[in-house]
Amino acid sequence: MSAIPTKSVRIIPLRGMDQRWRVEPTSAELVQDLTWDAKDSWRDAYGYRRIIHDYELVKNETGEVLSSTNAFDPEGLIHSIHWFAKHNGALQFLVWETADGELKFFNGSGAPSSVSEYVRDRDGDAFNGTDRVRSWLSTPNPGTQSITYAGRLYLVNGTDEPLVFDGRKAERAGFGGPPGEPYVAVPDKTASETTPIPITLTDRRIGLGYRLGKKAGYKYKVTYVNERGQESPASEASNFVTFDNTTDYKQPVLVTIPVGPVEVVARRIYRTLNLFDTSGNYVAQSSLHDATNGFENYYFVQEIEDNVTELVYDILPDAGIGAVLDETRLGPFPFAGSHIANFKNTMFVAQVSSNELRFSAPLAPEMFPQDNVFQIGDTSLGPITGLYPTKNALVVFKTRGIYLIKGDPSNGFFAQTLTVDVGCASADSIAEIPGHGLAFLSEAGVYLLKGALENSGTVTGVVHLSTPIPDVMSRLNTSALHNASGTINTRNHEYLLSVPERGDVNASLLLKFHYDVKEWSISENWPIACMVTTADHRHHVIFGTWDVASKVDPNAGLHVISPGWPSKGPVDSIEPRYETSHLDFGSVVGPVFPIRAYAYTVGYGHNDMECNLVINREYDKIYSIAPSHDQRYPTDEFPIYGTVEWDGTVGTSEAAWVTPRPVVVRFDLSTSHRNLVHELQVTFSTETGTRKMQIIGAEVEVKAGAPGSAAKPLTLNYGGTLTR
Amino acid sequence: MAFRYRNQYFQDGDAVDPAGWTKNVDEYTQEFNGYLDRDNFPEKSISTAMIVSNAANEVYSQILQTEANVSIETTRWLEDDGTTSFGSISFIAATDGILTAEWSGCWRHPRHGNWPAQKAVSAVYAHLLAGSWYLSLRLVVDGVELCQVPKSINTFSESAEYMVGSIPLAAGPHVVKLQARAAVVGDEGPVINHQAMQDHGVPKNDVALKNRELIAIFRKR
Repeated sequence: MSAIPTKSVRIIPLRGMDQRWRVEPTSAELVQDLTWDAKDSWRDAYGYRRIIHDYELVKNETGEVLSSTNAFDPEGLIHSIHWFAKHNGALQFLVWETADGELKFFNGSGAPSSVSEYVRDRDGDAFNGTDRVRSWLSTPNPGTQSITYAGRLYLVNGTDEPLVFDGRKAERAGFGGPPGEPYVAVPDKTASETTPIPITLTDRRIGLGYRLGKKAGYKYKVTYVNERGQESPASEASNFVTFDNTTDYKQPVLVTIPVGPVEVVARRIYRTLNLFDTSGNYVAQSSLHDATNGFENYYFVQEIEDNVTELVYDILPDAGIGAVLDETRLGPFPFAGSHIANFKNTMFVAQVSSNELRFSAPLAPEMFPQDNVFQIGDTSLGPITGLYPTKNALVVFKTRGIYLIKGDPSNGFFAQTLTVDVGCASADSIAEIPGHGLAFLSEAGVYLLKGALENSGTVTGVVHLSTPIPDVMSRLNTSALHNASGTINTRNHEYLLSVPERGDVNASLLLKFHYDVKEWSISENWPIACMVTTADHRHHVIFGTWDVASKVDPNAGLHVISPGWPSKGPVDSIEPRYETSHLDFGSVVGPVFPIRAYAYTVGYGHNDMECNLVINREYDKIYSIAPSHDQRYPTDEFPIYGTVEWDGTVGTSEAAWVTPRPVVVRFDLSTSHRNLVHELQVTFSTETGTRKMQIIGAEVEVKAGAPGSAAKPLTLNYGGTLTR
Repeated sequence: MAFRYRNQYFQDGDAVDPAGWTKNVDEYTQEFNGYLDRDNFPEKSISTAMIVSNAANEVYSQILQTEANVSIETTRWLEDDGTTSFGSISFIAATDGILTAEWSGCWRHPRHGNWPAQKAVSAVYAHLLAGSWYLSLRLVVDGVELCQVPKSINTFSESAEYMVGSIPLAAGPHVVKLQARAAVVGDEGPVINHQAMQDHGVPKNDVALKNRELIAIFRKR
């Protein structure tokens, strides 16, 4: 029999947050500034810094830096960030927009003083907020959404023209409408209205109409083409030009075509076949043209490969013209597109103020036929809030409702309703968690869309992911959820979700879902306005900040997360903290008395770990000043940074490298000055000013016994012999 | 963005762990072997002198000043035949790449109005004196047409042409050739019975290619 009868409760492995009243003892009430490690432990998490370091402005004669600056000091609020690559990833672009109307991309060759270039349009005008301006709304909104297609970045924001950036220049995606109709006439040599002398074509191989001395007549249409080969809707038909050929000659037609906007690199001319038959009679209806119903087929005549020519002679006979113009394949890029996705070589665009989801012709991402449209849900379910292609479906989110677009361009697309109970509140929160499903933030919490999204035997369903963290979710500012953003931190196997909380419209609370173990943790003081993970081998998580109090702000700009940073930005420290769940010892009438806590941790050295207790879910912790202890065995003599010298000694031994190993750190505790304990929570953290910690498990040693047990003299229990 | 950041943080009091140092170094070593990017080099840090000749492009040129006659006695494409040099470039591509070939040159053929009839011109062929002489030029790469200029304007007795085109090429030997053909064209197509034409008084005049240059620029992958 030991001197003090105790029992030990060991908690291994440690898991993430579960704030429900009754949970597994391996759960935690709070996991803060920690990240789950592949060795099944929680280690101090990363901080963030600007993606480019400060540089010196002024030094004194001794080389001391008197003043430094950063290329991002004058940066405005960064509200959208995008990453894309060309040439299979060899040429990468980090693109962002600021509240100053700028659109720029990262170029590190001028670092550290210059790290970005403005995106420029075809004329060379920069999107610098002055020459060209990108809109920004200060109220929470979906912001700018992007998609990459064929090595280009497409951007829509519901306000500005849809933009496509190819790494060299940006210009409008697609066309907003058709060209003006062409004007056609039969040229003559005199320009006289009374006695025109026609220009005649005696060569049998050229000229319009029949060489039969009969009347001929044509109509024309024209389309614009941009440099990506995307064609605008066709113009209205031209005026109806008629003329009389003879048996000796045919005639050309002079077509006046409109000059297009700046993105036009070519124009295509189409025309009908001769609308008069060989007898010179107007063709009312035939298989080739249906003039009665006001519809004629138009055939390709010529592509004018410039945007300058206005007058074109058409001398092609009907036998020489090309394929019929399929106007059902053409259409303008949707107006006020606010969400965009690429699914099965088809571009999908949702509009900001309707239920319409439009989709392009296959392999023609900027041509949206008039009939290619879905009405998604009902307006009472809110607007479309996100598009995400995954598995064999395009997932369409509304504020309340999730729909699947299935099918393919060959056999047609169709829409399925998945649920009208849950929707997405933030397009930027959507991210695909590897091996799990599609995570997104709704007004009711974080959800996961899992399953194969089709009838394959795997249940497709929506799972409430944030069930274990109700207290955290109750802090969210649901009116500003558009400002939430999420991404996958590939390096740490985390789904990161920054959310606005309480009265703040800006996101500052970072939720981490550690998807390997399906557990949550949190971190505060992350001024994230937008976030992206680079899709290259570096897997950087980069975010733009809203924290721009002034034009020379130490927090402005782009930041990258890394465990190599000592803090979160220039101000906020990393404060790892693991608070276990409230361990229930079974009965309020059978209290326990904690006497020790052990932290199974990694021996990082002489920096302290602190331990504190909360009993019976009381508000205050047991210790106002928490007990602390080095993260090592007392007998360990580590060579440590700040002390050891190269080739120096530690104690009497030669200094050498240390490979940290698991150690047990013991804390002697007492709750005797408080209530009897039936629930106990143990908190482990690092001491102020330090951050390194890796906790594997915990053990609590308690003295347990039923009340009313017979008291025994301590001296006997200690083996003493003194009696009275 | 080809920047790397340290991923291990050290502070006073931490045990000296070699793995931390190694991991920070690993961040940079993972950038070697093809991952360095424009972000990693200062602007203008790489000058022309630092790049060996033909590292990225190989340029070939052939200038010909000897006239080459394009016979109208055939409608087939004519090219270098051992006797007449129209222009050609052969090269061996060490890698896959893109070839851009261009040709510029001038030509001459007797203008129709100046042609003395060799005899009384038959009415059947009279219109041939009034024009309808054409010259066509094209560049072919390994037998594949690369580009072509439209038929020359038959009312000119001399003029110049320029054409350019690009094509992807696999590694290996390649040949770029200029091909030319000239014809007399009547209402029903090219006249091929030139003897009959001459018999009826229409002079037979070949078209002559004069000063010309063929350039082949091979951009390596």
